[in-house]
Amino acid sequence: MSLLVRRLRKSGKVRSKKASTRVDMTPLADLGFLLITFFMFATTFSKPNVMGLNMPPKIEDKDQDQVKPPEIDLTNSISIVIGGDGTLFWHQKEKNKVSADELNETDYTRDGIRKEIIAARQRATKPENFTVIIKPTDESNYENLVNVLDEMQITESSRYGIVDLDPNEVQAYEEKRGISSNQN
Amino acid sequence: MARNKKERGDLFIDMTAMSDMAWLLLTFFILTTQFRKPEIVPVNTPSSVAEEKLQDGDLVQITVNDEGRYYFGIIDDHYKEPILEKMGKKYGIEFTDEEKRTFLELSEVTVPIGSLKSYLGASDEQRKATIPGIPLDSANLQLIDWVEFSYEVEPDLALAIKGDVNTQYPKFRELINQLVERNFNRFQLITSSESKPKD
Repeated sequence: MSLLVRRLRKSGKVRSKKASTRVDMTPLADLGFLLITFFMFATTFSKPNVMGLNMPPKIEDKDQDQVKPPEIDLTNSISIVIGGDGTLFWHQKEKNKVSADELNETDYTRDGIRKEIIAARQRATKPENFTVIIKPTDESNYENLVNVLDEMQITESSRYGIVDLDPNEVQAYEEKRGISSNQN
Repeated sequence: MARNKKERGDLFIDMTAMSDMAWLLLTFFILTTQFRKPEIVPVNTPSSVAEEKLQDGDLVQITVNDEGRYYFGIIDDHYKEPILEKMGKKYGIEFTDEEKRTFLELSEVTVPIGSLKSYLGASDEQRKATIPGIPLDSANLQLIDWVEFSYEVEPDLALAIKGDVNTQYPKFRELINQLVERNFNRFQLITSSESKPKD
């Protein structure tokens, strides 16, 4: 701009135009947007995600006799036993009859439990009633549980429940873990 | 060359409007941002594919850390005082106005109700060092009392549970069992995000 003015003066012409007092607002706009970006990240991305978990309501003592435990056809369900140290087992037997050999070992990968759940659902006689029973052992941790609950969402299994292990299942699990740790 | 320069000089876009808009939006974001109070107990949450976001208000939160200690947090400040009063009433502890004010600044209750009074009187440094947790066993259900009184104050609260990656499952089961025992059946598990696998 000053170059232009100087040239105008040199040529002998009187300054016809007043030098513009306009301030370049670009950096100001830049700064504004930069700060906006920061605040947007600070608000929306700091929020953690949540996963809903609904437990069945407590059964009152007086109702206990009337309420029968729901009958689940064994082919329509899969029991997932969450073990310690990142181990995972599944079975489709009756909980008080399952033996260590019938506990199938699997893992948390895509080809592990996810495949088993989908395969079991396809085998089910009534896929709409397919239920996943999650049984975390005392050795498992919270992360294992969340991972399995995650699989429920990924495989779109809407019917699932978290149940404690049957004493027989605990025995089978311990036997199974004993065997697998001996092999290693 | 000289002509070019002159033409460029004419290409002056007025940025005032854009800048105005940017700052207006910025003001909006500044005013709506709520900075979280610093967490007293560090917790490493597991990741999940859940896409739902944690709601802002009307929330109480139970934290279980990796050692299996329980902490209770009330997110909304205006529920804190009535809840504290109800707890004090049940356990026969009278809190002064000064102590109530200190309580408002806390993001989480980290001590049993019996030692809460001395905890509130302690200095910030001392407070940071004492995080024994709130007892929860069949003989002492203080944690559940906190939850129950919160619901008495505001029945529409959501109950969030924040567990650590290494929290042992029995600790979590104990918490869930005791909550179900008092008919709290709906929980929100706080997790960090993870993208959902495509297939």
